Amino acid sequence: MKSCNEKTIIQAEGLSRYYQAGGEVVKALDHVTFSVKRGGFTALVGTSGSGKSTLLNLVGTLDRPTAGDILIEGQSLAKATEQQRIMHRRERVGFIFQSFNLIPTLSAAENVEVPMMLTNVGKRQRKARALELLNRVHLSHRASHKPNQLSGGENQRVAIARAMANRPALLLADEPTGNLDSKTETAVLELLIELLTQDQVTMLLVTHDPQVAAHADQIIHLLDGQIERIESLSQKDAAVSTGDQQ
Amino acid sequence: MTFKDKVLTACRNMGRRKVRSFLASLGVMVGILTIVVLISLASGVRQHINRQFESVGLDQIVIVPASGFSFPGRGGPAGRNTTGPNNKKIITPDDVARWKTWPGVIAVNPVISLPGSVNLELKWQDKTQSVRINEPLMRPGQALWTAKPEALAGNLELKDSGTIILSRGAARALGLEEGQLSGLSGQNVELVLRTSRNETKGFELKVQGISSELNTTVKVSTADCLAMKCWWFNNDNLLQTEGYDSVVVNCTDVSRAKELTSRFRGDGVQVQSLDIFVEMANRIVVTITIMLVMLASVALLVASIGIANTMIMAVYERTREIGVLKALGASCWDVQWMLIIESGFIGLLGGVLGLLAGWVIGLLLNQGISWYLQYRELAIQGVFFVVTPGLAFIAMVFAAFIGITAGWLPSRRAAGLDPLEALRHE
Repeated sequence: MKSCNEKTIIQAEGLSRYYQAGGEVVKALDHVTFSVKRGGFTALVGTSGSGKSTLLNLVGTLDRPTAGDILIEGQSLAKATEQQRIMHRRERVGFIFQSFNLIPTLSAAENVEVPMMLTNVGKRQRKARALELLNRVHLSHRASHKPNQLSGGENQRVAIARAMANRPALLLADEPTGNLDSKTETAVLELLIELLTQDQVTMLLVTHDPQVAAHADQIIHLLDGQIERIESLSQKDAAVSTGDQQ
Repeated sequence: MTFKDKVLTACRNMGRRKVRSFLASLGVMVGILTIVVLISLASGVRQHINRQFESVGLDQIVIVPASGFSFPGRGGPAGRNTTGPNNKKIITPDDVARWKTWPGVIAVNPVISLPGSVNLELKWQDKTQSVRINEPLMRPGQALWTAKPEALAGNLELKDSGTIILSRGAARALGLEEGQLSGLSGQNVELVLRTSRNETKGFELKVQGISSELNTTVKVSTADCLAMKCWWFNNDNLLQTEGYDSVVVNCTDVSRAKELTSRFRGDGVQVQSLDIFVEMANRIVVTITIMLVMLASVALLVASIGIANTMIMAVYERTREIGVLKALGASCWDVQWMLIIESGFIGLLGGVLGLLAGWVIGLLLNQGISWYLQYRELAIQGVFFVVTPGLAFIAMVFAAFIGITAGWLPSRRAAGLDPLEALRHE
């Protein structure tokens, strides 16, 4: 285990992800080094193809780096076994997707229960926790509704509740407001920030919307797979970070 | 993820496309139905064959001394040749008593046979008729071509010494008309043994019953037979030196008779049993059943292709969901198990439906066959289709196995999906 500051939750060092496409090497992420402090809200911004989602997927262990390493709470993900990566996704990370990705045959409450089912939480505790979370996202009255009976904003709130189910240390949101109208977007974003503050969760959010990014403590600007610059928008301790483009 | 959660999720997923799952299970249903009907028919036919063999006496075993039937002389009192083979194992009363205690044995009846050269005469009042001794069925399966006699008077169960059962032919030969036959029951007759030198010995016996047999035979107890034989050979210790000539053992059923045959052989005696015929008949039934089941397995092969296709479609449709589950922390095994359980349930559903349909068809066919046999006035009874709990259990396990096998490859494919690729699936 590499050394990692107690306040730092994510430490990326020379992180690269290359793809082979049509005989050419595409550098989706090229030697990226940055750190994120615990409890902060970091936005990853950039144009399409800049490597935002790739970076998020590497942090979420949905993908493996070609070079470099990423440390989450001091644990190297590049060297992690498949089982460790699964446990990382189960226990440490909560995913929020742009297209919600709720299971259509399950009710809102059952969707929230899915991550807890994967960690073998008992049925009764699962139900109680799902209702508690739905209550927190103001959807307790919609607990038995299926995703197709809910609006886009409601679906995303269910997805947020699902992401929070196992009390993750890290919330990874890939354009969570991308499919929402501006009014709903604001409501969802406010809800996310409220939950972050209450639960002391760190959030890494991908967006191309400057207005969304403006809510973050730290903004990492990506361009062609490299960090263009890192902006610190808050004077809060948690938001202080260093960027190093290599 | 607990096994219970996997099962519940699999059930829920199966219910998503109810018609498709049902249609996929129909193939298994047809296969299992055919197999259940065929095997239950084979089982019923085997039981029927065994019952038939039992009815003709194949549940009987005839035991003779190891060197076979050999009488200690043929000369009669004139040329008394009492030196029989000394090396043969004789059947003693102790053997008979011991065999009676063996499990599966209902009765052990020792038999004393008179030599073929013995002249027997039946005397009643002033009438004399030459007769011969009617011995118990000496060959297993003899009942197949020997009708079971009926009692025309008295009873035909010969137990005590000093009694005799006459055949209808013997009674008629004594000058009695049909209506007078019952009058003979309870009266004393004399059975006279006559040698070639005209020496005679009479045995007075009480008529216990008259059988419907048309031949001129009489039946006497083993003890009386022994007494006659002792006189014939002029040897009062004949039982001690020669033992019984044979023993008829009644077993609880045909299968028990087969087991006991080898046990008796181990006891150093010669056993005459037609178990090989039972085995041959059963082997033919089993061979035919296997061939038919193999044909029915073609239906199961087609059914498994149907299930595999259903599961491939399910995996394709749920690729994104599988990606979500993996992103949320589901392991490859979690995904694979859910799909295997689902395909196993599709197979099991087909199995349950097939078993029920096979059972109902069996009942209907049993009824139909019974009506037909009654209509044709054929004296065949019993059920032909027998669905045993063992068959039901094996059918269920087999159906689930078909489903699991068919779902294995699609589930492996699903388990190996890259979560990122799966999440991008539209």
